[in-house]
Amino acid sequence: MTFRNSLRLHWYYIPLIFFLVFFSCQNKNQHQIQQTALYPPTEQTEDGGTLVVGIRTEPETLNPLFALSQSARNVLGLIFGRLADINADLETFSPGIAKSWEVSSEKRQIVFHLHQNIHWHDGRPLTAEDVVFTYQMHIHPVIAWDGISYKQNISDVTAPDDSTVIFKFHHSNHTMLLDAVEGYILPKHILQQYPPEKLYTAGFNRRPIGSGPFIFVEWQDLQHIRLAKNESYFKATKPHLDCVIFRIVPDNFNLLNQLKSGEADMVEGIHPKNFLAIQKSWEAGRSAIRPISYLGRRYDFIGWNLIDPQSYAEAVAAGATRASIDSLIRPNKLFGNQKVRVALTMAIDRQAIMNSVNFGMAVPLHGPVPPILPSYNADANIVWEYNPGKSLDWLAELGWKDHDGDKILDRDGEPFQFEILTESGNLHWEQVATIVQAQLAEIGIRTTLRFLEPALLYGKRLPNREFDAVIIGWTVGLTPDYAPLFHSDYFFTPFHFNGYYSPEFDRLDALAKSAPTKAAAQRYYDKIARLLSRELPYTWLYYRMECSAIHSRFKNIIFDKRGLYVNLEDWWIPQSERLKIDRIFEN
Amino acid sequence: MLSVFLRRILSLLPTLLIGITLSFIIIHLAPGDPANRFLNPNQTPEMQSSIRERFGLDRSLPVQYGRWLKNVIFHLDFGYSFYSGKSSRAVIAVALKSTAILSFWALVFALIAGISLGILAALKQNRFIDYFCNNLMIFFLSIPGFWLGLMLIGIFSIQLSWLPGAHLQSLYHHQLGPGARFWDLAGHLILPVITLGLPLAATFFKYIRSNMIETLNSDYILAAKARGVNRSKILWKYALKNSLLPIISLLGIVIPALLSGAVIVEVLFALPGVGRTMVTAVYSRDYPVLMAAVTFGFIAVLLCNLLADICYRIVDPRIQHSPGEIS
Repeated sequence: MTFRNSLRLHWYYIPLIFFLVFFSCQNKNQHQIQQTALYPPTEQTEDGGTLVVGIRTEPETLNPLFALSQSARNVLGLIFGRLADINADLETFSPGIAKSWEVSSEKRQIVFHLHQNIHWHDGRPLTAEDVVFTYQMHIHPVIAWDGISYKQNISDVTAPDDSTVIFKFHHSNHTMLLDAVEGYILPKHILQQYPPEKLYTAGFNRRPIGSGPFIFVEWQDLQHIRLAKNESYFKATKPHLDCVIFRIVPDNFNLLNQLKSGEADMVEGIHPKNFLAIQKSWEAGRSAIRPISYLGRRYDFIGWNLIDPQSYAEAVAAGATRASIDSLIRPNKLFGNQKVRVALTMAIDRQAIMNSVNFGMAVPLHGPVPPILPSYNADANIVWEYNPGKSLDWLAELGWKDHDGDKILDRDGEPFQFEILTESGNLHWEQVATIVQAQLAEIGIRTTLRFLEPALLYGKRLPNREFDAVIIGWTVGLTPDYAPLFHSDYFFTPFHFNGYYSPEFDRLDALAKSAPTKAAAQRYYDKIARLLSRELPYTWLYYRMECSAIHSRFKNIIFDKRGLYVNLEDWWIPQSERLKIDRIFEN
Repeated sequence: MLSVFLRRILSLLPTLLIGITLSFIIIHLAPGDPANRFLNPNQTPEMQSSIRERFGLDRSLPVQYGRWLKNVIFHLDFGYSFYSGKSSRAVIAVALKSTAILSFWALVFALIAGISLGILAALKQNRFIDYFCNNLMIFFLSIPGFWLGLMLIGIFSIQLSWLPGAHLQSLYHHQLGPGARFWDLAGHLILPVITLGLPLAATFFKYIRSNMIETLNSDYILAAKARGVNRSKILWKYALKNSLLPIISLLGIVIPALLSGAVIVEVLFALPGVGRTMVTAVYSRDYPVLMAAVTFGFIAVLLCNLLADICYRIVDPRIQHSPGEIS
């Protein structure tokens, strides 16, 4: 699980971008911890049983230093441990490898006290030296760890004794604890054998040794990864399950069938249509597969290109910098005008798109702040409701009318037409694009759709600003950062693909980040939400619900915005409900 | 024969070299940078160059190619996967085993089904059984592999629960005895083998049927019949043998096609084969794995054609070589 920092392009299977930030201010009205227990936690538990998780993509590695995919992160969370684990409020932490910690009086140092009975899966004790070594790996330039931004405020990490680690910081801020605990602790005695430049190909990456509740057992290429209960886990009574298996099934149809036939117990990312069918069967009492839905981490949007592609190319060739943005880069002839973006947004029936493409498994989104975050304030956004009549009026004010009677808006003889890009193979976005095209055609705007291979879309067209509009989605971290998407510092980076530039945003972003209190920062984040929902560099379409399902024999499951693996070490299966698979891997 | 074989092998080397060189260039010129997978807004320039250096992408294309070719020729080393950090040779070796098992049994199934039904249809020409087999095979030839696979999974795996619909073996495979392991593997292979083999069986069927009909109506068969030669001898010794000859040439073409057809089947049935590995490698711009797979693919195509030629010469004594001939 990534809490911060990672805006990343995935152009295969899961085209997602992770982003993050610093922050964690909150709106007290919105700050509710939404946590759901499928069954109330009970004192009574029974050990044993097997969980088979169906996953689409094989983890690329099981070394936390190089793992980027969500499937890898899910496995790693069971094998490795952190100093402390973030709670559902996304602000406080529970003890992990560290049993306690204290912040120094001048707030520039945190002292962690480690549990003294934690062992690596090979039997060696986990000590403070491992924590120091992990930090050294995290900041090593050759490793290029994707969470390195967490460590930028840390000046030094030392281990005065085997069970004490001291983190020193350059300056005090409210994310010091998050910065210190981010990243799984690694075994120094194994990884120090490899020079850092050879770590990427180390055997450890396929046969990891961790300290978490489950031990790595085997990895059958493209088939499955099997973990077994760590009998020496420092939380003595946990985990309860004997075995967790991640079965790799790349085809959606077959993955769903694995769930139905009992070959997989749990599947995430189910298509909403299939999810509703599972829900129907469950509610009718015809199935033991229980549907689970919750607000996930993804939203989809239309990104408008606000700048003229040719002037951008010329500016880049001329070595433009942030200071020369105004002088060298011209606004886009269509979308450079905020009123056009608003008019187009009002012409798109986002509710209809949600209903038809997501089958209702999504919630409206009108601004940049995802609703799972404590800082989300629905009232901060300006909402542009679906209103094609008003949209036409706004466009008419700008001179866009059907002058020649061909049912296409035009101005100065130029028809209002543009191209919408999206990723080929992503049926979801292709459907959204098709509906958007039809809706815009109703008000006289002609669009052409182009579905591009991911590497071409993310590797060339977007970074070079060679597009008019694009339909894609972001995956958000638990502490998202808006700067990579909208701050002028990032203007020339691939993530800032639509060329939004606003000194006001830059000012508010800086103020929010330097605010002394979370309440003060919240004021600025509300202003950012208002600014961006007014200016509409994106037309936010909707925020997706995660659709998952799990066999009902598993008890004590808790899920929230951190995901479905939050308390897997607490899951258990009653003897009376066990299946054949539960006995195969009994310890 | 051995000298012919060796000469043919040598003649294939330039083809192989040109093929993999072109592949290397095309793959590297395709849009998308493998290092983009690690893109991060907070990356320093040092980190970015470190990632490119890790994969050797900081060198020019000719230098990358030279190093790659040298390692392949002298060490059979295709480099480490950009995606997983594993040796590309190991990645392909594991995948090749699965693809080979699947392709072999699909071929056996296709040969048995295609040839036997082809003979039957030819012997019963213009009768019900002929029409039935013909239409059935046209149907199998026409339907897309993924659709056939989905139907088979739907019927035999989901509705009837007779056969597993995914993977090469059960999760508890390692706990089974040798006999049970075989049946476990066989059970997992039935649906993918049928999915991959049926269209191929239909191809063989069409060839065998038409060849058999043509052969059975040829003069030398009529002459044999006139001389009172036993009917089964005419059929099995004269007619079938000649009808099978084109199948050998066909094998040289269909075996590589079988490997490429395995892509869909491997994804659909979650089999750990070369096709699925290549799909992942293409999406992640994993050049080393892609190049290893392409190289093995080239070698497979060339060798299959070579073997087909050699087999053809073995079974058909009419084909003779002059000392310098390389056909």
